[in-house]
Amino acid sequence: MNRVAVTGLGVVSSIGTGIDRYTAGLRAGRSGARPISVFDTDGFANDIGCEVTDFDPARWITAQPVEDLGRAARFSVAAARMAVDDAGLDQDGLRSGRGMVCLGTTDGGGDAGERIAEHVVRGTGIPAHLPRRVPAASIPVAVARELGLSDVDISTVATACAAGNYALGNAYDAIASGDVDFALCGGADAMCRMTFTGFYRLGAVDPERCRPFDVGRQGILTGEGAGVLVLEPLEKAVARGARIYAEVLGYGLNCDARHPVAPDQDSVAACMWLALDDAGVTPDQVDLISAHGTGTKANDTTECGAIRDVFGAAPPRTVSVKSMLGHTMGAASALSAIACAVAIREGFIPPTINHTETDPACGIDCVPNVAVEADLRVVQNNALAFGGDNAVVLFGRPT
Amino acid sequence: MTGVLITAWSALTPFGHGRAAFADGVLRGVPAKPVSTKDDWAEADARVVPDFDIVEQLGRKGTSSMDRTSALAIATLRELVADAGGAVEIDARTGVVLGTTSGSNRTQFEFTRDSLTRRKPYLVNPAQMPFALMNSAAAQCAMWHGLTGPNSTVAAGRNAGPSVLRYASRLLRTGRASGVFAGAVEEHSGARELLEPGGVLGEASVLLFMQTGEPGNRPALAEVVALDTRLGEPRRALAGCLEHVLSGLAVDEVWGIASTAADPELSEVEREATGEVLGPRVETVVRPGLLVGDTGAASGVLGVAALLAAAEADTAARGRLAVATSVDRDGTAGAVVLRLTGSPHELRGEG
Repeated sequence: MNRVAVTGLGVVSSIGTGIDRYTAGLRAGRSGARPISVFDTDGFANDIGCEVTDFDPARWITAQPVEDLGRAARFSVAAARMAVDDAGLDQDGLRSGRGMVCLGTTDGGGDAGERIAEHVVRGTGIPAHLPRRVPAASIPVAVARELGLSDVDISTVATACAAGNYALGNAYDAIASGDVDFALCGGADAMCRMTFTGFYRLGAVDPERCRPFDVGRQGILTGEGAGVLVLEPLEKAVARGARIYAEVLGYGLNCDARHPVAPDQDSVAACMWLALDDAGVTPDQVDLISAHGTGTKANDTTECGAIRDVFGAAPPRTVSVKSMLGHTMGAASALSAIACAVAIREGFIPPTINHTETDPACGIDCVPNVAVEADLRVVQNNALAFGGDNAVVLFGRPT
Repeated sequence: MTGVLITAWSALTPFGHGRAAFADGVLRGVPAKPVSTKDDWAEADARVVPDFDIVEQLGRKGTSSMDRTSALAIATLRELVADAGGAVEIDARTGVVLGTTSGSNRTQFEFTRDSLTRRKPYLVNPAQMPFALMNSAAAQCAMWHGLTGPNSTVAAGRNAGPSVLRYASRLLRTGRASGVFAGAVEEHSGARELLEPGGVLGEASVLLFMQTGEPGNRPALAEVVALDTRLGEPRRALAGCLEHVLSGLAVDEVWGIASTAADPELSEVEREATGEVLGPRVETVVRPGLLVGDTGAASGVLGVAALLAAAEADTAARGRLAVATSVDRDGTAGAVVLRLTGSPHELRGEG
């Protein structure tokens, strides 16, 4: 079995595009929150989300008509190209190998779908390019097409808010077992009205800012973006002198099989155990947890309860990058995974921002507001989804 | 060597509910009759799963906001378990892998419409939200049937066949799942008519039960021998897949082919690519897409099911290979090779 290295990172996010700006944003505790502009928020009492505002698709998409691609696909193509460049891989080399593009998404091309629905409701014609953007598989297909990849395992894992970690796990197995030579994996989503409206209706959107683990937390902010990681066999990465951010140590997947939206503490804990066992790591060896940490009452209490069940009364520091990025849905655990890789490589812990007072029911050290320097050997990345789909990935410092 | 086996299957299709109805329809080779459909989004003739009312099928509890995709998947899984008897072993690591194109379009469209037309944009039905997400069907299968293993939704449009089988095989080979209900669902709705204009749409839900094991030791219908997907000019991409999956195998071992497209252009691509790589002499060719309409993500797995159904009726199939191909308009193509091991009923009889 191959060991698996993370050698390239690409990011489109509300706190910065490109790995350098993203890293700077994580270190500074930047907030991506701003008024939503991509859909009409008229009639809602609040309109804050973490939107990507500085994105120029034409800079990244040159091998296909930009118009054919939905917003999440555009983000993904950009993030994938950045990740390939960051890994120091050339496209000709990629084309000659057996590759994988595996991306997670919650809504896929749902933003195009809701525009089609709106055209019907308003009695206006449906523009011809919109239906093409709807299938979720259009996201990794756009990436593969842009990079000129043909002999490629293209997978879209549509496992809602845990999709990024699901995609990472699939890519990890594909590299570890030798099915593919390299994998571009991660996740992407575009802001959409449906997600905002749904969480708003559930009373789970914070009117101002996302404050995970805080006594005053009121819910998520919806966000968007894409995160792509290049995975390759560790041995090959070492042989070609690649910069190795981190090693993927293992992962775990399970399903609560209980409730459509409420997470189950025992099942989340069981998923962490699956990941720890798969990675051959004991809880005391974990230095940091990048939590799912949505900022809803239910998620944070349940997730922290599960963390204490596994790690005991004094768990490792547990942060939520959603405090900065909002909930980027299918991109969330991919962007969080990238934060883990950066944290290991750069030796710091990204903070949980917007923090005033930790909820005693959470009972964790969330590294409030200010990043801290830290020597990190093993980092855990949590993801939970509606439907009870849990996925936990473990990263280690390359040795 | 330990391989990935298909030990049981079932389907809800325009031919009716369950394995026998689909097998019978495939063997007779007469297309299911399109019916007139009409909802708030479109009016069209389509081949839908007959007599499928969600509440009638599943009762009232938990179904008032449920999408048709989830309901079809839950019912198919129930049907499979009831039909397969001992061929399905469920434990805490039994998983679900379901293919889709973009989930329940109807549910998504209705949710958006409510937000746009009601007195306040947030006066939507909150219970509908989880059913609008693409992972709803897989998650609902887990909830209804108590399946706590890996629960994945693979969006791959008409290439969901090879994509789902590959993903499920990987979970099994790595030991992350002890068994997997692997398949795909595509509901019919006016919303989907808007997204897939032209051609007669179909509706189907199809599930296989997959486990690892040695073909001789475990009652199995088939072993997954090889699979591949590619992106590019469709005929070349599919021919490339076929060459790859059949390398090292003798072409005269191939007993049957399933061409899964419903669209005449895509069907022609499959005919040309299989002709190029396999020659004209394969004994059995099934084209479920021509019988049940364009079932989108379900079409590829239905191809596998159609091969299993045809093999069960033909003793010449036993021990030989069957190939299911798929192509989508997005330029992705795929192929799955199975070795047909015979029916579990017969194997049990021999044992």
